[in-house]
Amino acid sequence: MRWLKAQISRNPPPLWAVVVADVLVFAVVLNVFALFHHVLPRSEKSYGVKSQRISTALLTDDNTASEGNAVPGDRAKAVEETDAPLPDVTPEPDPVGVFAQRFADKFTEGEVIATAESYQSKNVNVQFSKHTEPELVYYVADIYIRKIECLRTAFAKDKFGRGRWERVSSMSERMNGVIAINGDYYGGRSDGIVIRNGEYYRNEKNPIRDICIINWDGTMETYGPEAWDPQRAVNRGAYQGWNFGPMLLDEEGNAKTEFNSEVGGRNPRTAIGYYEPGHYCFVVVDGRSKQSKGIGLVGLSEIMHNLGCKLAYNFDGGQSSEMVIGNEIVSNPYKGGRKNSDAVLIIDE
Amino acid sequence: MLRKLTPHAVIIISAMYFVFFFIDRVNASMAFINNPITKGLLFALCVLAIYNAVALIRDNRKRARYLERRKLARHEKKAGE
Repeated sequence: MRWLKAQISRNPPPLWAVVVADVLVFAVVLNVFALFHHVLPRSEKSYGVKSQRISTALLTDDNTASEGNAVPGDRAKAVEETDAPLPDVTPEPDPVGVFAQRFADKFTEGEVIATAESYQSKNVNVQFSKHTEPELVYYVADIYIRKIECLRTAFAKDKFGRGRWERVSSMSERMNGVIAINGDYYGGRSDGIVIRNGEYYRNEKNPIRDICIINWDGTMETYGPEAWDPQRAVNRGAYQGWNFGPMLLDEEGNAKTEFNSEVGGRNPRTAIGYYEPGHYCFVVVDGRSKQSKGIGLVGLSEIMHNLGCKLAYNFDGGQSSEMVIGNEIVSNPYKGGRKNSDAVLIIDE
Repeated sequence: MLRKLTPHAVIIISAMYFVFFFIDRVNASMAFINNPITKGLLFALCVLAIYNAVALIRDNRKRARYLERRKLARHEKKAGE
C-alpha cells in the first residue's frame, strides 16, 4: 500500500487515465444501484390489517348487514323514507359485495358462453371490444361480477415485495383469470398504499399520487393523498387499494383537464372505470407505435367519461400496459410488454 | 489517500444524480430519486462535499500562510543584505 502510494505520488497517472477510471467506477456504481433498486427481490412485511367484509360503516343498529349493496349514503336515505308503508314481503337482500340480484340478467344459470368478444358465466359477464381511431387503438372490457371476490389482484410470483416481476399473462394463468390488466407497479417503489384482496400490505401513502379504493361492497372511491385516512378505509371496508393514479374523472363523473400527476404525454395507458357496485370496465390503450401513438391523460379521461364511468383511475402505463384474456395478450404492448409487479384480474369462481 | 479519493467520489455520485434527475423526469413513478438508496447517496454526497470543502479551505489557508512566511523570509533576507 505504501509502495503504491509512493508510486502514485512520485509518478501520478495522466489526466485521461483518471477520467477513464472515474467513468468506469461511475458505470459500475450505477449498475450496482440498478441491481438493488430494481432487480434484486426484497421481501416486505405486510402491514397485517385485514378489512372486514361487513365493515362498521355498513352495519345497522342491530349489527346486521345493511340491505343489498347500498352505500352508507343510500342507507341514510332509506331510513329517512321509512314513513311510507313497507310491503309485507321484502326480497331477501344480497349480502355485502354480492350483486346477483342487481345484475341477474347478466349471468347464466351455470353454463359458460365464451366467444372472442365475450365471456358469460354464472359469476362473470365480460364484453370485450377493440376501438380504432386515427393513430389510436384501445381496448375496453365491460365487466359485471356476481360477487366482489371475482375482482382480484395478484402479486408477481405470488409474493408481496419489491423487485418481483412476472408477466400479466402468467399471473392470469396462475389465477385462472378471465381477463387481466397490469396494476400500479407497486413493486418498483418503496412507498404507496397497497391493499390487496382485503389485506393491508403497505400503509405509506405517496405524498403526490392519488389513491383508488374498491370496497367490499363494490363501491369505488378515488381521492387525493391529502384525503387518505387509513382508519376510515378500514372502517369503510377497503378491499383493493392502489396508489398510482391520477384519478381521471371529477366528483360528477366529468372528464378532467388537470391532474394530480407527473405522468404526461401520449403513451400506452391502463385504467379501471367504475359504473356502480359490481359493474366496472378495464381500458388499455396501445401506444408508441405507428398504429397507435398512445394517449395523454386528458384523452384517457374523455374516453372514460364517454364510456359512462362515474369514476376512473389510471394505472401504470408505458411498456407495462397490457390486457390479457385468459392467457392471451389481446392488446399490443410496446416492445411486447414487460414483467409487472402486480395485476388486476376478473376470475370466474 | 482519503483526501485523494473523496473528490472522485463526489464526481461519481454527482454524475449518478444527473442520471437520476434525467430518468426521474422521464418516469417519475419509478421513484429513482425518492427512495432509500438515493437518500443514502445524497447523505454521502453531502458528507463528502463538506469534507472536501473543509479540506480545501484548510489547504488554502495553509498555502496562504506558507506564501506569507516565504514572502516574509525573502523580505528579511533582503533587509539583512
